[in-house]
Amino acid sequence: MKRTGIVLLAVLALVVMVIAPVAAQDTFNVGMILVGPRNDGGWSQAHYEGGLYVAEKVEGVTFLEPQENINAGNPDVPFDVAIRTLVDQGANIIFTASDEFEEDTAIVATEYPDVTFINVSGDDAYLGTAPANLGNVMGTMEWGKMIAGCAAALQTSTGHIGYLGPLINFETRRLVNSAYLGARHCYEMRGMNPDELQFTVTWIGFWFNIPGVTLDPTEEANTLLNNGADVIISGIDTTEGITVVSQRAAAGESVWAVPYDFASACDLGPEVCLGVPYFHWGPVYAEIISAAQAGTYEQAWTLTNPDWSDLNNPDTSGIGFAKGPALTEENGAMLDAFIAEAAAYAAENPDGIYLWTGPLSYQDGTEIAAEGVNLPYIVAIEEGSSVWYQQQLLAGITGASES
Amino acid sequence: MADPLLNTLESIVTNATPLVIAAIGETITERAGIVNLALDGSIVLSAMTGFVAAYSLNTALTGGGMAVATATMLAIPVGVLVAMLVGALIALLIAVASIELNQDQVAIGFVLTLLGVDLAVFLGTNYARIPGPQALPIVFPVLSQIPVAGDIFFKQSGFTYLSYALIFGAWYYLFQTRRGLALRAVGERPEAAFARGVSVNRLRYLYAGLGGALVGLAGAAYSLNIKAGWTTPPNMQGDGWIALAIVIFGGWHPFRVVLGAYLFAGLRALASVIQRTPGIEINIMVLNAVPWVLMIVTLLLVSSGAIERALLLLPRGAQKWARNILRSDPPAALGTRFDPERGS
Amino acid sequence: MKQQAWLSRVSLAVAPIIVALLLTGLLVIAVGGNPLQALTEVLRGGFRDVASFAGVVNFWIPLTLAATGLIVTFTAGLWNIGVDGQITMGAIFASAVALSWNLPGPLLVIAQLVAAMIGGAFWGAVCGFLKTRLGVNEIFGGVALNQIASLATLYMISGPWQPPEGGSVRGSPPFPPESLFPVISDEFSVSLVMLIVVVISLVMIGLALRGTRWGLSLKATGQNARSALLLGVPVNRSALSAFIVCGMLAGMAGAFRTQFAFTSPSIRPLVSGGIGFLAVLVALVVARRISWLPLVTFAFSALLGGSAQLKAVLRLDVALVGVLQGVLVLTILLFNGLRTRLESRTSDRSGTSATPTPSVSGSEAVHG
Repeated sequence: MKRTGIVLLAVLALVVMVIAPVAAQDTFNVGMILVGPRNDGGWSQAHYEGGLYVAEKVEGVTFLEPQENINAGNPDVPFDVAIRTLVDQGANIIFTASDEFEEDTAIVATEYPDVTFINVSGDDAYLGTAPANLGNVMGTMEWGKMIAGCAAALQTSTGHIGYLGPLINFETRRLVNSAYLGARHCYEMRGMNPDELQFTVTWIGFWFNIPGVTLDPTEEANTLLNNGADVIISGIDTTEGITVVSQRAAAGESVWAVPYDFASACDLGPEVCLGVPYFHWGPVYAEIISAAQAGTYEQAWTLTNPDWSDLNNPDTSGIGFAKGPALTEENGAMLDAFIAEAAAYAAENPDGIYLWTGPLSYQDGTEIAAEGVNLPYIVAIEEGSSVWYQQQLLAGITGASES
Repeated sequence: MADPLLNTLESIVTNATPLVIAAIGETITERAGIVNLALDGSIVLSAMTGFVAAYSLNTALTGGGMAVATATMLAIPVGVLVAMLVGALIALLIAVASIELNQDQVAIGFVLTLLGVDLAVFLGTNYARIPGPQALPIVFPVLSQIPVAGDIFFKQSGFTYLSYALIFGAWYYLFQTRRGLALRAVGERPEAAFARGVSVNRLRYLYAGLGGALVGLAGAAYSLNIKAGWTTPPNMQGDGWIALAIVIFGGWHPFRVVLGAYLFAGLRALASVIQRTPGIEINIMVLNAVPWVLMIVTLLLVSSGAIERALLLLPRGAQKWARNILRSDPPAALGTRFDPERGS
Repeated sequence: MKQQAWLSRVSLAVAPIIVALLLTGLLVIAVGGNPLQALTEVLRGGFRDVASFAGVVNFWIPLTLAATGLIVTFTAGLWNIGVDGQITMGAIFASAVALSWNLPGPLLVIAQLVAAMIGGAFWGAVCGFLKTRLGVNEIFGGVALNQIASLATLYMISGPWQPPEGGSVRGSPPFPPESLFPVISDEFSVSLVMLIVVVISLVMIGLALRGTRWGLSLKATGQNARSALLLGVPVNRSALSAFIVCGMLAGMAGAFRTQFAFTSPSIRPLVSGGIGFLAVLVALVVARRISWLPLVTFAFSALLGGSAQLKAVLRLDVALVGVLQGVLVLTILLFNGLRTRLESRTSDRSGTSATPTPSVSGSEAVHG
């Protein structure tokens, strides 16, 4: 009965088949694969804005419509289809902006040798396992998380900080550990005993909430607060942490939030926001894209760093920390003092990260840096411990180290 | 805010609120003989539309110079009404398809639940992750002073207070009024009701719409309070299915439905507490599966006659009383169509 | 007179498609898009070159398998919404074989398919057992079993099958090369074996439903379980067998998904990709007319194949394709109802719904 309709549809399909697709080739086209939506208020939005920055600042560049929501929750557009679509659109360089895409990017890079691929947060290029047209970029967010942990520890009155974690891997453990080190340090700055600081991590199981797959970050944030935490540091891509805290504060509780990833994340709850560590992807993207446009990009594992002279300069600082309105003036001054300490350390130790100095040990007691030893930023796992490859949470943190 | 246990219990009541509202709505609809399987899609779509309506009005009012607090007070009820309207329309569509067009209620409901989610995602894209008006908790006068219970039940938002009212209101209406009797008759023995002069299909439209409006209210409870705002993917997706199961678990009785809703919310909270209990190492996914296993187990209990057998162990006097409470048969005419012309 | 009847039948068949396109088009206009362009881009997305056409076929294969299985359960009057979980369970079983068995290539492929059939049939049987023996309504049993299967995937991925580089729920390590299904060509990466499996499944199920005792007993069960029981049809056994057969087909769809749904063959979260739910929509549209099934699944797959293109060119959210599919099925069902209503009004025949109407309540299951 529906024969006619289906036949019509099929005929229409055939007609469309013969219309050859056209792709713009006169500009240098930038493609981007986002794991979440462009307006997630966090990780994906920061990348999207990075793309807009490049389109504005670099001549002759077109920022193609990014492929959003490329994750298990959106099975209609698998990763390789998204990539193929961007290539058909004439993409010359494609940023795959999630750890989630690391392995798959290596596979598609060999399929499209003429396109440059940049995977964000991966380390294939460092390890030398990547095809020639695949590079990596990441920010040294350890700095940002350390400042975030410091702000939380300065303001907490219950002495209990909650960390809303995504999934468990080297990157997320490293960022939790950085926040913890910053928190301990600043708790001590306040004249408190850092061993008494409680630091609890909850993992939701993915970078953001996928109903039916992850735990619900709204509920997890509430649980953290219910159990005595009064500051929530967010490590997930999205904004549930600050939303929940802002809601609880409106109900009369003294609670604070430190969101993540995106410079304007405090806007969702300025009255509870202690500050936000975030990425400015624009400058490093512009650098990579200009090089690729000129044909001079060489595969690299690129790190983007804070500009210590001006942390919040959108043109120079890859990592920023925007202080939030809820941070008291006194705590703000102490945070500035801490940032100055970190800057001084960075100036002296260009390859190290402040506070990552022994004695440091994991939850199970394994020592990763002896007294006074600076942990190197990255060293292949089999050759020793490094900040990059954190195998466990640090001793003192409550929460799972492995899933 | 000192005691973790009290806080947790308070959160359970909050989180159960939309489940309670949606499940009561569905109980009313199903009691009248219509099954609205589109709960999940209805909740998601009404959450989105409710938020967008409240947000837009709020922005317009504050942009026009109105004080934020006043604007919110106006915007939230409007958002709630819009959400209820959306929920009611979806339920009415199912009723029309069944009553006028003789289509299977389950089929239409299933299509609508998938459609509701996609529609919400498509239309809501630009409203994701923006701060909007939220219903704040209201400390209930007097009752909030009751030790323990006051903290748990009476420092909640208006949605939760509404859910309390609904529980008792629905029970009273269903079981203590003449109209309630007619409602149940329409779902149990429509022919008999028709013979007595009850206009079966008119009541079915009425209660499908009413139940659907409550499902919409549940959606608003999410987007204007519990999971404030709108997100992609929708962060309340899946709860509609749980609410549907709770109706069965609740044996189409408001009191047991509420119990089911609190039980599920409690189990979820437990999973989240266990995760951070040192020394217990259970894979998160196993904990996540608990509510679903429980869903099957409870359906099994209510369907397999295990309860009936257990009742026989009770003393005679208590049996009848307990059977009334634990009654678990669905309305006999649930999901069927009534044709007044043929009287069947 | 005859011609007029034919005309009205055709117009009633085409009308829902046009109405669905119009409604969805209005939606596109509402968000500031051009509906004609949207339709063209969606279709171009699936057919712009060999590789994208292969993508459509690779969606068509599992969707057709699952929908074929659903025809069986629908015939028996069962709402097998649990088909999504049966796909997932098939994927899990196939992955277990692919990741741990050591067999030469062709044998390993067959072993995966067999394991997938067992996995899917197992999950179908659980749902069927709950329904027929314990009276748990298959809709809710199915919803819960879907979730449990999905969480079982996540458990395996985050535990036993966690890749060496870690990451909670990313996916298993890539399957070994000898486990891969051979493809027709690099450009047209479609598995010939699976195409044959689909065709055989369609033909076998079509014949079995039409001409065998089993098919008749399913039909009898589906039309009226109580009188079927009185006539000596083993109602429960035939319902259970319907779940198992559906599970076998859905399981193979799951094995296929592990091979072709991701950038590298592996098992990942939500491996079914919601194909089970889509298959339910398809089954609703075709009702029991199995010959239409491959065409309808093809139309659905073609639409899905174009969703990335829709995003890239017109900046419209990919959910639009889901909206179009939902509206399409809805209007087809409503027009079916409209037609029977008009027909019964003119000829005073009581029309029956084109879709099966399984009982809603679990306790109505007939215990045999």
